[in-house]
Amino acid sequence: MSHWEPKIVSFLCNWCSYGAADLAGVSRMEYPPNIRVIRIPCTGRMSAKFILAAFRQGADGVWVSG
Amino acid sequence: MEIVTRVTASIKNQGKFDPATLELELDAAEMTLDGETTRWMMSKQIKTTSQGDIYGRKWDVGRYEAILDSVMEREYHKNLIYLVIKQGVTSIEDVSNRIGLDLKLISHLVSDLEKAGRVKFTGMTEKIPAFAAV
Repeated sequence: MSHWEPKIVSFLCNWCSYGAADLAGVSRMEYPPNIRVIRIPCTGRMSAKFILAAFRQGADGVWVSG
Repeated sequence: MEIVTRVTASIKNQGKFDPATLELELDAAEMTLDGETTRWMMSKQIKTTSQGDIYGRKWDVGRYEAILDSVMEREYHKNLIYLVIKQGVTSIEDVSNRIGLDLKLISHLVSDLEKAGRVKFTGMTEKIPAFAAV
């Protein structure tokens, strides 16, 4: 259990947060590998049902950023 | 980077999320989002807060959102009760033991469910009112 790492699904806005994550990658910055990124056109496209679906499919946490 | 680390640590502290143990709650949340009441209130938000309601009263965004939150909470509880009754739990007390809500609140919400035709009174079982999902 001490090695347990949470699975985090992050929904990132194409125009800001996703760009930042992409830039972090290009700049060879490291961030935890347990974050799964899903690019969305805009956080306005986000639905609360996406969050429920992520939890149902095994996510321990959901992060919406935009 | 700092935010990512902080969010990861926060989720880690909250522990593992097991969807199997919270299936009922997830189903109730999904039913709430799909429900007519939530969708109707969401659809009216911009018009009511920018132009006003049918009486011309303009609503403050914060106030509207507070009401929306309380309505969604009520709908969620109703759906939770409905799902428990659908699973075969018949009495108010057993529903309360299962989901931990107050008996008075459950009675009140079961009346709402009856009016909406989602739950029906099936009679008395040893002097205790019994309900079933429709």
